[in-house]
Amino acid sequence: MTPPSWEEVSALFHAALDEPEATRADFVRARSAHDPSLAARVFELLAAHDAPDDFLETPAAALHGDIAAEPLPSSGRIGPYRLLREIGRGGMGAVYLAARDDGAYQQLVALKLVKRGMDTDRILARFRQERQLLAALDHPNIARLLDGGTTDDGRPYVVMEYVDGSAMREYCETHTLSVEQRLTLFRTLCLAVQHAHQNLIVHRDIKAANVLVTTAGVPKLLDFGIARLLDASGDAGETATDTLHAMTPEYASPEQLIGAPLSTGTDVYSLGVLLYELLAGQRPFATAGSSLAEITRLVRETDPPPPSTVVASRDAGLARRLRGDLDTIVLMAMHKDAERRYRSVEQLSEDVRRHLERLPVSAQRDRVSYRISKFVRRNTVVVASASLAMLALVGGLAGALWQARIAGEERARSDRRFAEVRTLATSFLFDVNDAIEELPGATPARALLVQRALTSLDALATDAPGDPSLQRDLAQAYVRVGAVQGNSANSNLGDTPGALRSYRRAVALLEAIPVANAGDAGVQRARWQAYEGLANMLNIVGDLPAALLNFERARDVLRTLVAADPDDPEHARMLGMVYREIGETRGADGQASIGDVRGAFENLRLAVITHEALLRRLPQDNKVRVSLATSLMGLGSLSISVGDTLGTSQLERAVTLLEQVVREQPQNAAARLELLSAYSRIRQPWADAARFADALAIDRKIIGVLDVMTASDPENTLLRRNRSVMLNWLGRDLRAAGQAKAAIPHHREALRMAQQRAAADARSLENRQDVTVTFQFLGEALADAGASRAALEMFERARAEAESLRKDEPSNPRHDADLALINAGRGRVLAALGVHVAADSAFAVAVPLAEATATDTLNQKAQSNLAIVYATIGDALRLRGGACGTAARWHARSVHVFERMERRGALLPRYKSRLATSETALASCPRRNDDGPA
Amino acid sequence: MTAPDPETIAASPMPGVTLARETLDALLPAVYGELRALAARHLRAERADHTLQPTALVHEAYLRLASVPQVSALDRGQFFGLAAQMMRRILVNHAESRNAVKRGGLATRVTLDESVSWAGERALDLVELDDALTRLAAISVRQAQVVELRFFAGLGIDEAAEVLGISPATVKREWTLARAWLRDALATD
Repeated sequence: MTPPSWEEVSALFHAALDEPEATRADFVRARSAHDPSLAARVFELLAAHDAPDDFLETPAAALHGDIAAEPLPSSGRIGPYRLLREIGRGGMGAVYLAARDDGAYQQLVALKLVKRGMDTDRILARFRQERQLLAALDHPNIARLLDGGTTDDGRPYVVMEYVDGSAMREYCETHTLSVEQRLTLFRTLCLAVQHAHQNLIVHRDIKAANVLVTTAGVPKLLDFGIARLLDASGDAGETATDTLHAMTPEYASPEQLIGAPLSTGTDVYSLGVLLYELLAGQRPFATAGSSLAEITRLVRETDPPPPSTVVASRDAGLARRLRGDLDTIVLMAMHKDAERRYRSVEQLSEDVRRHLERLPVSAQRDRVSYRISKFVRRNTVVVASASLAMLALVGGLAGALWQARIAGEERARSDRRFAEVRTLATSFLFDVNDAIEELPGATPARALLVQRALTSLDALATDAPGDPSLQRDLAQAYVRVGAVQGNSANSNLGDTPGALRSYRRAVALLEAIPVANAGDAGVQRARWQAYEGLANMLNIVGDLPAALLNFERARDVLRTLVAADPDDPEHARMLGMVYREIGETRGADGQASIGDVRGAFENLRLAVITHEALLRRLPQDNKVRVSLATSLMGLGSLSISVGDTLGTSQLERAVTLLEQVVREQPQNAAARLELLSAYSRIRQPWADAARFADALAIDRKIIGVLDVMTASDPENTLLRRNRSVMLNWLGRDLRAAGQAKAAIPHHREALRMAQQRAAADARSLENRQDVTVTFQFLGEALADAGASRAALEMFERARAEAESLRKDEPSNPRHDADLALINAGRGRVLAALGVHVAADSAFAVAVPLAEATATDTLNQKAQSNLAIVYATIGDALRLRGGACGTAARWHARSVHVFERMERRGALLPRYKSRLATSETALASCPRRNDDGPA
Repeated sequence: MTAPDPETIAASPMPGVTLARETLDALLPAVYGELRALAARHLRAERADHTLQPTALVHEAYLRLASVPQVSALDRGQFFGLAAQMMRRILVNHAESRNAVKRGGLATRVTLDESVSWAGERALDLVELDDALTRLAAISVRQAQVVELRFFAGLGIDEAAEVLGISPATVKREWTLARAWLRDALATD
């Protein structure tokens, strides 16, 4: 047989992808019935397409291939040195670990060799210069020059002291050095740079990777490859233009980036960047993916956020430690204007020492007095020209001073504003709020706090247009406010409209920040938090498309942040979380979603993959464990909802992770909540498997824990919602176990709680849906217990609620499914009450709704709903007696659907008794035909 | 885009990129050299120290070469088309030479790990991928081009669409299918 044409394969592949995942296989088979090899090929491609990884999604060059690595010289020797392995690579050459076999003992050295093809005159000259410069330096914190020479093919090499150690930042992190230890290490490095400066050498490429710390904890400065001698004027003779290739843009000073003359101030700047990185765990500017021109603009035009602000979200204690002196020291070293940095490395180091000894530091923020003096200095030309006449001179001076005073007041006002916001935002929202956030029972205290902060912030916001860093701070504050008001990820006040307002405010503030400042990592962080918070609120009020859009915006910002600093675990963790949120908004079991199951799987897998990778890096991190568990729960529940039994093991893994966390941190309320959620999800497969005793036991366990938690935090709406959800489950499991009477009080209690919530927040679709289904459950329990009249009332109310929900949210298929079951239930009790006409019209509503939602024959839930609707009608008709024929037809339909599921292995055990009932009913009637429904 | 005249040849399979032979001759070493140097500097130097993202590589090469007259005659799209092929050549050549070195002792091929294995179970072999991509080009040139632009030059969907002069939606479809095809090809190799 000829292979199918590529056009055919391609067309069917794309058409199949447009189909829902559940019906895809049938679709392909139907379209390729004429050609089995076409079907086979398309299935292969679809399988390849569905593989859960990001094959080819990362550009090749980003895969860290060592593009430029060269094999060692074939002899493996250079001069008297035996090359052992490559240990590094600089701008113009590779560095090898080498050994000199010198009679009795072997000395390990680092041998730096010019790359083949890079041996141009200019580079050779530079290489020779490095050798000369290094020869002039002799300092314990600078890697020593030992030897030098030329290879057989004419390439020069230098031999240096081999430093067996790790890069400075890595050293600090693997040894978890305290802030004090990092500062001390940094001061030692300063000695090395000072020594170079005393020898009139500017290093020009100071960065974490160029400082190795030995196992004994001694820092050594390496790579004087682009270092320069200062000339008599104190400038490095050569400007930066011709060294663009060699410098590292993220550490380069503004003057270095534009090719202006360099001085020792350039090294002060880079030391500032390095200190920033050592303290904050990240570099000051997010430059990933940026071109050199963009980096230059960023470094020249924007202010780095103070180190304390970038750690604030992950470590409030560290933020407090950095706030004040250390922020000031770092930012002064990194001042854009070289003149306003520390005059020397010594001064910088001295300020660090003063800080360590708790003495006042010399660095100060831009002071008003400085600004005024600068203003007057700038205006001396004006002043001088006015001096032609005495009067004019006086007038000119007065004018200049008046303007200076204006400038000063302007500054002072904004300083005051800043101080106000900072005091509020930091002490109230950040320190206090963060400290009590995870404490059970703290919700009302946080509410009070937030209320007071908000009043002041609203006033400040109107008063502060145009100051990007102020806008950023305000936005961050609003994000916190929103979280306390209603972010369901934390304990909150359930004030959805208030939270929506706050997040919208934060987004508006952030989007108003000029593009020039938008790269600011602080802005980026605030941005994703605002988008994510807003999306969560939109989710709660049921505006799913808008929620999705904002989740995706948050995802995009986080991707940038992760790309900028892949080592930052917090951003990766959050990215995973946002993937999960996108997945759950696209399609999740048991909550509002846009019904895109495929998209849901895709994103939930990404979430799990992201968090798994993170946990491999940080196996002991409880936050990561909780995040992974949450992602696994999303994926697991979705898998189970489409009948994939893999879901159970995903949920079991989540339970294991969370139990670990709760054991280690019994006070962690968030983890306890997640654990409860995991329990409640794992109970589903148990209930499905008709393991009612297990399911009931876990229901009661969860409710017991929730009672304890609610008692200590009664205002917490999240806890209360969970409690009502669990009461419903307890009721349903009791009913399934044949104890309908016992179920009734639990559903009544759940109903009371759901109604309370709906009354408090009428906009929340989630609350309304909770009320709807609780009416329905209560109706079913009452019907089972034989209380038909009471049951009918409940079904009527459920119907009214569901219909109004469907009107408000027509795109959500969930409401149709609910209405089908509610109407079937109504019909059932109407029939039991003998009101047959009304019963028939209820069934006439239920059947088309159930059939419409069940067009997807692989959707196990919709299929079983359909079968139940059919069976309910059959039962009802049978009760009328004498209608065996019609009843049998409905039972036959029910059996047909159930059996189709059973053949696929998708029939849950808990429905088996239902199937048996229908079969028995069918058997008692004379058989009319073997087929299912026409 | 002007119609090709008899003096020009198709410099590459990229539509729209038609250049005089001498232009191309002058161009290739410069583009290749610049990209290779950039790749070497940015990607190899320090793992822990991501100075620039690779996606920025091609952009930066363009900026750096913009003063070369032959390059300034190209628009960005044309340049990216060329650069994508160059990047493929650079990366695959490199992988090949590493394979050759390593094959002596360990019969394993070099893999660009980390990012790929971070997500999937199987690390990617660039040489295998290159073979498969050549086979894909025999079935669909455009799909192979999309992979070149997206994977080797790191371009986004919109940028790739600009280079190829087709809609982003089409790029997306071609990309989806090409990825599936390649994954399947690599899995069954």
